[in-house]
Parts: sequence; structure tokens; C-alpha cells
Amino acid sequence: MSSIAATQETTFEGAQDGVFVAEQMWPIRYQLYLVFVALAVGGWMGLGQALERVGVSMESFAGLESYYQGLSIHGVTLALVFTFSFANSLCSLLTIRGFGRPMASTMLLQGSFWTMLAGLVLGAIILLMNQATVLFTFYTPMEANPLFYLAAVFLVVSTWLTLANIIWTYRQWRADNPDERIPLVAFTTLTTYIMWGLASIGIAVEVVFFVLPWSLGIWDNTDPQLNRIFFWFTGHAIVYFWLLPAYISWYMCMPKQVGARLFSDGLTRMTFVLFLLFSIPTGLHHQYTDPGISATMKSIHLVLTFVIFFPSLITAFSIMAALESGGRARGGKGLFGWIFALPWGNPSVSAQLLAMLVFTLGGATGLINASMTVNLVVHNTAFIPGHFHLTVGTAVALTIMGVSYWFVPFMSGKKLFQPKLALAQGWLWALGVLTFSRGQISGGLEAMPRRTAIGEAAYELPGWELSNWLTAIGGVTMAVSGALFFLVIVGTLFLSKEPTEITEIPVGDEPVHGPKESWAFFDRIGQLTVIAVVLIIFAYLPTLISYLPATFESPGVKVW
Amino acid sequence: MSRTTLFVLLGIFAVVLIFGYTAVIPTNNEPRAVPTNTPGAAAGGGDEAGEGGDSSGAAAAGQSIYDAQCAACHTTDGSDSIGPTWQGLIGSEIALADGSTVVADEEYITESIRQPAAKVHDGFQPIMPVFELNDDDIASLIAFMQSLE
Ligand code: HEC
Ligand code: HEM
Ligand SMILES: [Cu+2]
Repeated sequence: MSSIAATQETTFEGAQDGVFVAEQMWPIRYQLYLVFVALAVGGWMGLGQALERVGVSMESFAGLESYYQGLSIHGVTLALVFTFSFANSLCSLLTIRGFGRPMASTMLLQGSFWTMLAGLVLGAIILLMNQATVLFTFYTPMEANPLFYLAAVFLVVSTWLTLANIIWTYRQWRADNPDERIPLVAFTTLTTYIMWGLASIGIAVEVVFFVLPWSLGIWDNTDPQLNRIFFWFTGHAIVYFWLLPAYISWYMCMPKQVGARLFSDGLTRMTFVLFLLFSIPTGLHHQYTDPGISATMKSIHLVLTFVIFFPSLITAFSIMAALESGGRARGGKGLFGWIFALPWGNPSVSAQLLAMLVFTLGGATGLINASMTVNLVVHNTAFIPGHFHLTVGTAVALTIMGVSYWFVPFMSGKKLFQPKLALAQGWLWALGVLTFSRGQISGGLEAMPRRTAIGEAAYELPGWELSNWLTAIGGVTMAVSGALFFLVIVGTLFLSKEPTEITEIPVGDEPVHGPKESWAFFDRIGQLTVIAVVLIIFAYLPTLISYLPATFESPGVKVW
Repeated sequence: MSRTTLFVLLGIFAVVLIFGYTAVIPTNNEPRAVPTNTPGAAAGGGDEAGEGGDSSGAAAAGQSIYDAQCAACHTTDGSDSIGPTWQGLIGSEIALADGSTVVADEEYITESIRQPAAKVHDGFQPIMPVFELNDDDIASLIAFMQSLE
């Protein structure tokens, strides 16, 4: 295991035992700071959206033109920039750590940072100019300024540069180590990025071939439904691109952080392989109510959605096993004693434990959404934001914050500022989101639409008042928690005097059942990718054929 | 973190989780604004229309138009919904959004149906759709409204 001493700001000046080199550390570090910038901007909008429900207008709150302008900023910064830049940053670091060698290309690593920055800045400018109030899903025929789509291209290209770099590093490592198992950490980042590489083809096709030329005026009309099919080709798998970096932390770092070992190498590899294979052929579950798509294909995607739930169940098992053994090793007794024996005093651990607890509800509500007939009840209601603030808004976001509590000290060499505040931050977020989502979920069941300025709605149904108050109270609590998070991070970077004790990335030792017991086929990345492509073709070719011929008949509209 | 603090925090978490989310399903059977008022109104309206003598045929015809086209927004039991209730509407004095008042006579009712935005009842949104009903239909609706005292 490479030991790297990050005791000072200057740690990464010059080569550190040839693995963590300075030219590669700064892009990782600055990409991590983009995570925080995106969270700050998006979180501010989120606070506005929550307050809108109890009478504070978005126009007066943030000086915006409309509620939808704010919501577009919220969605783009949080669902795209926040998650992507974190994935790039953490996965690059863990790839280096996993293969025990620098990334193959320093240029790609730096390029990934610069394109992410370009995408964020360009997107922010266009959104703030109210030229792209199309929400983060940018459904046509709503037509934004072409520069907005260009910003989206930058964001995706940034992840592709990281993907190329991870694959290249893998190939180099493989050339030097022809017979070895892929180190587990590197295996998880590699499969995550290959999955995303395949998944992002949908959105790339949509933007490059249809939306961008149309918004540039090269084509007059577009086919909104075809665009939606391509969008949702990416749109479900994207949630795993958000989630898997959190899973990577749960599998690879949490066991070490609680003083335990991961249960099984093979089970972990299998989980990530299942995500690689089944994340994408599920996208139609976002289009159950869409016309023009065969019900058979919708049903096939429905079944596959339940298939992709399975690796999350394995994850629940593996992580809980590791946590229990950690808790028992720390002296926890009895049926539940190990839970209390976990290192709850460590803010990084506690935030992630809470993220997991909240995620159980996120999974349950996700199964509700995925069930075609039940989906009709909740589709496009506030139930959906209720669901995904438990998943991406907490399981992922709170894990990112928890990881930051070692990542930032590790990268900056500074001791974590005010760990007590950091602890409070995690709890506030968890309790806040439980309240917030309770409000949104019950509102949704009372037919409250999502993506609606409820405070200005023409009418209100019974039950909405409670829903609005819970949403507002929960949302404010989350915002307070977010503010504490910034205090801790900014404090760590600028006020913290002492050097950190964190000198090592908390990646666990070999699992209880190590790589020798795990199936060698899992490492056949190339073959697995081919299988994934075949599954995608099975799931999407008939969908497209049954949909075609396309009807390019919609002119662009600007509804804001 | 002390063990007591942890117990308390996890306890709060569990309480929010269990009580918050098990009570999520709308369990109250109180009438929800839109659908459930209709049957009740139908029964009540029917009885009274019976007592109304001559106008009963017209009131019944008015009620069927009400059931089909108006019940989504108007109640007959005195509670306001998306639109104002019809109970006690006829002859009452109505405050308008522009600050003036008007008596709800036949003329006002007719205008409210044919040009809902012309005079907007204070405190309500001007969202009522235009209904192109003929004079007979409007007469039946008024008879039905009169039966709702
Ligand atoms: C989409 C909801 C909606 C529907 C359906 C609807 N209304 Fe209305 N109606 C309203 C609202 C809101 C108001 C109050 C605002 C206004 O005065 O325009 C109103 C006002 C009225 C008024 C004036 C009453 C007052 O207190 O000022 C009358 C009369 C009326 N509606 C009759 C009807 C009739 C008859 C129908 C069915 C043919 C009908 N409405 C269907 C929403 C609706
Ligand atoms: C301070 C914390 C937050 C608050 C108060 C908040 C509030 C909200 C609200 C009220 C909505 C629903 C708006 C509507 O449907 O009209 C919403 C939508 C959304 N939120 Fe958040 N949120 C927060 C944090 C997050 C985080 C951390 C993420 C993801 C990492 C996130 C991702 C999203 C997304 C993707 C949408 C959907 C946008 C759309 O429909 O286009 N939010 N948020
Ligand atoms: Cu999905």
C-alpha cells in the first residue's frame, strides 16, 4: 500500500513516491472545489424553492425572473455539476490509489477540470441571463440559447476525459501486470465510468444531432418525443453515475473507517458488473405515460428495473455486514449494540451512516415509482422530488459531504475545522430531508404537481398546507446544514492552522473473502462491455423501431 | 459524541421516520374538495328540489348540468372550494375583486357563466372557464341554485 504523507499544504509539490504527483493532484483538488461551488449555488435555489411554498416569491428571494429560472439552476448545478465533478474527482484519486500509479495522462486530468469549469461557468451565465429556463431535463420543444446545450456538452465531455484516462491507466497497468486481478478499488471506478460512457451516448446523440443544430437554426423543427427517448436512455443510468461514487465510498472506504473489512471481493465485483450490464436498459420507466412507445417494451424495462434493484440489495447486505463486524470489533454487544458502538463521533462516518439510513426510504419510494401502474398515481407529482431528495439529494449528497470530511483535509493538508459542527451538519441534513420529503411525498399523494410554483398556484387542495409547511421547514433545515458544511470546508481551507492527521486515503484492506475466491470472468471488462451493449440493443432497438418514423414538426417555443 | 446524545438523536430519527412516514397515506375521510362533495350535494339538492314545487323539474335539470360541469369547482354545502359555494348564492351581496359589490341576481349569474372574467368574486382566482349554455340551461341552473337555501 502506498503511504503518502499529506501533512502540509506543500504535500503535493513534486513527486510523492511517484504515485501522487503534483500536476495530477491540483486538477483533482480544484475539481473537488467545483463540487462545493455547485452545491452552494444549487442549495441557495433549493432554499428559495422551499420558501416559495410558504409565500416567499422566487423573484424577491434571489432576484430571478421566475420560479422556473431558479429551478433550472437548481437542477443543472446539483444534478449535473455537483455529481459529475465529484465523480471525476474521487474516481480519479481512487484510480491512482487502486492501480498504485499516476493516471496515464496528466493532460486529460487537467482537461477534465477545465472542461468542467467551462461548462459550469457558461451554463451559469446563460441560466442567469434567463436564456435557458428549460429545467435540467431541457425537454424540447422548449428551446434554450445554443450556448446552454454547449455547456451541457462540456459537462459530459469532462466525464469522458476522465473515462478515457481511467481506461488508459488500466491498459498501462494491465500491460505491466498481465496476470493480476484488477485491484478492487480500481475495478469499481473502471466499471462505473464504462457504464456511464455507454449511458451518456443517449444524451450525446440527442444534443449533438438534434437539439444543438435545431437551436442553432440549422433545422427549423424537432421531434420532442424522439428527443425524450434519447434523453431517458441516459436518464436512468445517470442516477447510477450519481450513486456509484457513493457506493464506492461505502464499499471501499467505510469498512476501513469503522475498523472492519469488506465481506467479499467477488460480491463487490458482481455488484458493479450488474450495474454495468443493467443500468441502461431501464430508461423507459420514465416514459410509462408517454405515447408512441410500445407497452411491451415498457414492461421489459419495468422488469429490468427490478433486476437493477438487486445489486442495491447486495450492497445493503455487504455494507451492513462490514458495519456489524466493525461495531462488534469495537465492543458492541447484543442484537443492536454494534450500531451504537460504531464511530458516530467521526463526522465522515456519521454523515455516511445517516445517508445510508435515509437511503432505505429512497429505495422503497423508488420501487413505488418503478411499478408501472402505481407510477400513474405519483407521476409528475411532488412525490417524485420527495423520492429523489432521499436518494441523490441525501444518499449521494450527504455521502459526498461525509467523504469531503477526509478528502478536503487529505488534499489540503489542513486539519478538519470544528468537527463538532461537521457532526451537527450531518444530523441536521438527515432530519431536514426526512421532514422535507415527508412534505413532498404527502403533497404528491394529494395530487400536488411537481415543477410548479405551488405558492402561486391558482388553487389549493386540502392537505397541501401541511405539505408546504413540512417542505419549507425541512428545506430550511437542509439549507442550514448546507451552510454549516461550507463553514467547515472554508474553515478547513482558510482558518485551520494545524496539519491534518489524515495521511492516507481510507481504502480498506483485502476483503474477508479476497480476490482469489472471486470469479475471474468479472475482470473481463471488454467482454462485459460487449454484453452490456447487446442488452442495450435488445432494449432500445425495438423501442426505436416501434417509434419511428420520426416527425420533425415542432418549432421551438420559449415559454418563459 | 456521548452515548446518550447518540440515543436521543437516533430516537428522534426513528420517530420522524416511523410516525412521519406511516401517516403519509391520506387517512382522513373528510370530503376532499373536488370529488366527494358531489354525491352529498346531489342527495341534498334532490330533496329540496322536491319541496320546491313548480321549479322542481328545472332544478333537477340544473343539477345534472351542475354534476357534469360545475361540481369540480363549486359546492352546494356552503364550503368554498376552487370557486365560491352556491349555497345561499342567489340574492346575496357579493364583494368583487375590484372593490365594488353586486347583488347575485339572475343577470349576474348569467353574466358569470357566459363571461366569468367580467366580474370576479373577491378572494378567488379568475380561472373559471367560459360555458356556452343556452337560456334554458341557465334558467335550470338558477332554479337549482334557488333550491339550495
Ligand atoms: C375550473 C373551476 C370552475 C368550474 C368548472 C366552474 N366554475 Fe364557476 N367559478 C369559478 C371561480 C374560481 C369563480 C370565482 C371567480 C369569478 O368570479 O370568476 C366562479 C364563479 C362563478 C359564479 C359567480 C359566483 C360568485 O359567487 O361570484 C357563478 C354563477 C358560476 N361560477 C357558475 C358556474 C357554473 C354554472 C359552472 C358550470 C357550468 C361553473 N361555474 C363551473 C370556477 C369554476
Ligand atoms: C437545501 C437543500 C435542498 C432543498 C431545500 C431543495 C428543494 C427542492 C425543491 C422544493 C424541489 C422541487 C421543485 C419543484 O418540483 O417545483 C427540488 C427539485 C430538485 N432538487 Fe432539490 N433541494 C435541495 C437539495 C438538493 C440536492 C443536494 C440535490 C441533488 C444532489 C437536489 C436535486 C434536485 C433536482 C434534480 C430537482 C428537480 C428539478 C426539476 O424538476 O427540474 N436538490 N429541490
Ligand atoms: Cu429511473
